[in-house]
Amino acid sequence: MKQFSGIVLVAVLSIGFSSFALADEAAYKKLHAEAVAANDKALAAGGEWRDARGKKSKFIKCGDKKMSILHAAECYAAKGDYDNAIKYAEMAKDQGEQGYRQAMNQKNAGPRH
Amino acid sequence: MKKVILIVLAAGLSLGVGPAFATTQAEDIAALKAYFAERWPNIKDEDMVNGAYSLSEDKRINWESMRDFPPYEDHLAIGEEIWNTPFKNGNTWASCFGDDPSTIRNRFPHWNARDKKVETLEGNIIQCQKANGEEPFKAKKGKIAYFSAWLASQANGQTINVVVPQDDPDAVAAYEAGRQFFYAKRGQLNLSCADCHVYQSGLYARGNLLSPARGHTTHFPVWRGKWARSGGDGFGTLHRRYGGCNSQVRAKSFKAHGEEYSNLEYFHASMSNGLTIEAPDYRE
Amino acid sequence: MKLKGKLPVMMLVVMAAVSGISMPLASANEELIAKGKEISFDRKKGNCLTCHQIAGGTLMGNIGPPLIAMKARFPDKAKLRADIWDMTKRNPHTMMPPFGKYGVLTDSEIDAVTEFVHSL
Repeated sequence: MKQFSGIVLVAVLSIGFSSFALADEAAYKKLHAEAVAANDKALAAGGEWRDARGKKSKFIKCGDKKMSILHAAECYAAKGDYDNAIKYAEMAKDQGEQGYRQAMNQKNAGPRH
Repeated sequence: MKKVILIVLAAGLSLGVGPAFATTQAEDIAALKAYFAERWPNIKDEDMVNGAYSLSEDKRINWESMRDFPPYEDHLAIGEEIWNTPFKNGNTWASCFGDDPSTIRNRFPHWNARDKKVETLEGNIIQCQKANGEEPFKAKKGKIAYFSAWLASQANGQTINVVVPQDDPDAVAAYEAGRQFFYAKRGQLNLSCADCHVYQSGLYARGNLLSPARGHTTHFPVWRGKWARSGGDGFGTLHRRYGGCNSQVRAKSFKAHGEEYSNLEYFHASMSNGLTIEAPDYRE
Repeated sequence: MKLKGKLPVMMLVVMAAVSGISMPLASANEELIAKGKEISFDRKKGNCLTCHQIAGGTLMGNIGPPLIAMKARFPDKAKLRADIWDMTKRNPHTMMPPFGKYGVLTDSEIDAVTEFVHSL
């Protein structure tokens, strides 16, 4: 009986953990797609920022390498660290949205002297 | 009749119809010159070619000592050699640019009405190589800068006069796109070209004296101490500088000789109309 | 994800509570000021010295006003924080990057910088 409840406990726990991990992965993938879309939109408006997903960017550390924010999100996701993967995917998405809004806001920029 | 036009005009203005800055190239240049003349009444317009070195005695002394022994003489010699070396197909650079190397620098940037685009000197160097089946130079530094610098040195003393044909709406649109780029804040640091090189020029960002935009393109390709220290030599093209500036404000930079930077160059070079070419030159 | 995130936060709260009891308030504030100074002087963080003169700095710019007598200029610390967070709100043409709005600094970094600048 004791053994049985032990097994049940282990089973419940592992299902619980893996469903957490699955939910995290799904949340990350959704955010990643949104980050790509947001930065595509910023790029089309000429307003993308340097570190959102730039190949030469050395903005965020993952392991012992420095890279762009979205690349760091991918790097952490590959390690299974979805806390950081989600954090950086969110940051990359925010940069894309801000860059787009900035470009729209500056559309009629001109001299004021 | 006049009254009607006036009323229509006034209505248009009050409704904010039309482009936000419907000024012409000539008006823009006049306004810019007046702005700087008011800022620095003691600095003559022709001294704007020396940029920050007309504004600070200390910086000027350092710069003059650099110019006594220019670090770029050997590179200019390579540039001349490039001019004298025919392509593998037997053609020479003259087939693209004409025989007289002193007439080339000052023809750019210009509007190509047939292809409806701004042409730049470095862009056309690459285009000439491609047309002749040559491997094109890298876009921003190295041989393209040596060659362009030598061509610029052959044009020293000539007066810059970038022409925007006012009867060609596409040319005017390209100029206006360049102007919008110059004045638009961009990047995570939210800074425009104009923020540093118009409104705050003459002030210090850390130890750097911000140079006024009028005069910028007179001395490109430029030999920068900063580039020389970062490995390789100090030569770089105007579009290399654009990329560096954009990156510094944390904006994604654009492709050298692409539409964005070519339009920017069209406007930016216009800002130096009336000044003389003094190239290449040393800058911090 | 939410559960995992909460544990360290709870630990921090407990630690903060414990240290709050054992340490006088002034030194916690001094720590925040020191952290704010570090961020302000760091070229990759606040990089305030690019434009502002601050006591103890070197190679300082003069684009913005020198940061002195800040308590007199900003009796309300919240207003100072709001300017650091997004100066474009008050002046769309400002040279000052919107440190908070554009995520150049995190909220807690801005708290520290505000504390430091207000102490000048």
